[in-house]
Formats: sequence, structure tokens, C-alpha cells
Amino acid sequence: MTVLTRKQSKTMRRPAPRVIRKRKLTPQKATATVYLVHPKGTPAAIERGRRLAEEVRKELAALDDASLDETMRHLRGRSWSL
Amino acid sequence: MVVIDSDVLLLAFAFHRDPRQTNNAAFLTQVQNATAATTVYNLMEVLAQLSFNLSPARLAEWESWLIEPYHLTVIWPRAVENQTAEGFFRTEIFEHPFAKAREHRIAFLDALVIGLAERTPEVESLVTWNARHFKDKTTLRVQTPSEYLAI
Repeated sequence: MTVLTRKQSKTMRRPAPRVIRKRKLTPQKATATVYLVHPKGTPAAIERGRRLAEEVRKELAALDDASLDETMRHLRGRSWSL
Repeated sequence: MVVIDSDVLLLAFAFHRDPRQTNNAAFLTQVQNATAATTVYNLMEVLAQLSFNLSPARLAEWESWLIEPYHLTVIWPRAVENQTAEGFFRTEIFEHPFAKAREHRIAFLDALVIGLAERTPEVESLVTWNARHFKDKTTLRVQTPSEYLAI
């Protein structure tokens, strides 16, 4: 059995101090359940991205005769119609 | 911030003979001045669709060829404080889209996209080639790329 001094006993019974900090949050930020991931945006990243995007366009030439609207109907259902 | 729908992004890479290509490209250039964004659901829809025609290595580079040239910000859902993973998943994948479906009779992916865009304070509008499809289903302004260019 551990014998505590009066000081130790008092410390143990004392509830932990509750720190309440006022947070400055705008209502929008307080309710936003999203987060945003921004692009790198460096000149090098943009330049490389444009070059690769052009290569992707060439690789997708097989879809030239396909229909965007048919593809979207397939993806989103029959309610997708122009 | 302008949220770009999947059809606009798909048109940027495929369907080269589509008559909307010129306006689509002009819109994607102009919208970069207004902070262009898309949701993670649009991102996955586009990548999954293009997975049928692109190599796995090319798909893995998506951030380079899909994000950087258009300066796209991607919107992701975030759990509320102290929410469990199960609770977050249920809210995001079931409760939010189901509430939309009951209110507007809307497809699952449309509900996910609109729900996430509407919860993003910075978002002002959604741009899609099928603006008519979304009218009366969202509080966001909905425009086609051509309508966006005309303003």
C-alpha cells in the first residue's frame, strides 16, 4: 500500500484544469466537411503536364468516333440526355 | 471557384470530332483565372473511364496530365471532428446522396458530385455540358462551358 502525503493526496483529487480556448472560426469553415488539394502550379509541372496531356490525347484517338453523350449516359444513367 | 463536371474533362482528352471541342478548350483556358476545381468523384469517373484506353503507367501520371495543365484543385470530403471512419463513410456514401435522391430524383454519382460541391464554401458554380440535367437539383449556378464564355 502506498502512503501519500497530504500534498500528494490533494493533487490527486484535484480535477485537471480545463483549458477553454476561444477558437476563431468563421461559420463557413466550422461547417465545411471538405478539404482542397491544389495543383503544384510550378512552371515545370505545367509544362510537363501540357506535354503529357498532348500524348494522352493522341493515345485516345481511338475514341474519336465515339460519342461523349453516349459515354455520359452509360456513366450517369438514362437521365443524362441533351 | 468553378467546379468542372466529368464531361468537360473527358472532352479535353477524347472525342476529338465533337463539335463542342472549340468552346470546351476555350472554357478550360479561361476558367483557370477563376480557380478551376473538380470533385474527387469526377476525378475517379474520368480516370476509370479512360482506364479502358490508357496504360496503367499513363494512368498513374494523372496528376501531371489531368491536374497541372488546367490548374485544377481537387475537392475531397472530410470527416467531422471525432467522427469514426464508419460514420464518415455512411454519411458521405449513403446519407448525403440518399437525401439528395429523395429531394430531387437524382443519379447516385450526380448526388455525390453536387453534394460535395455544395458543401465547399468557395464553390460558386458547376460547369457541365448538360446544365439542363442539373437545373433545379442544386443551389449552385449551373452553366455550360459556352454559357460561361458568354458572360
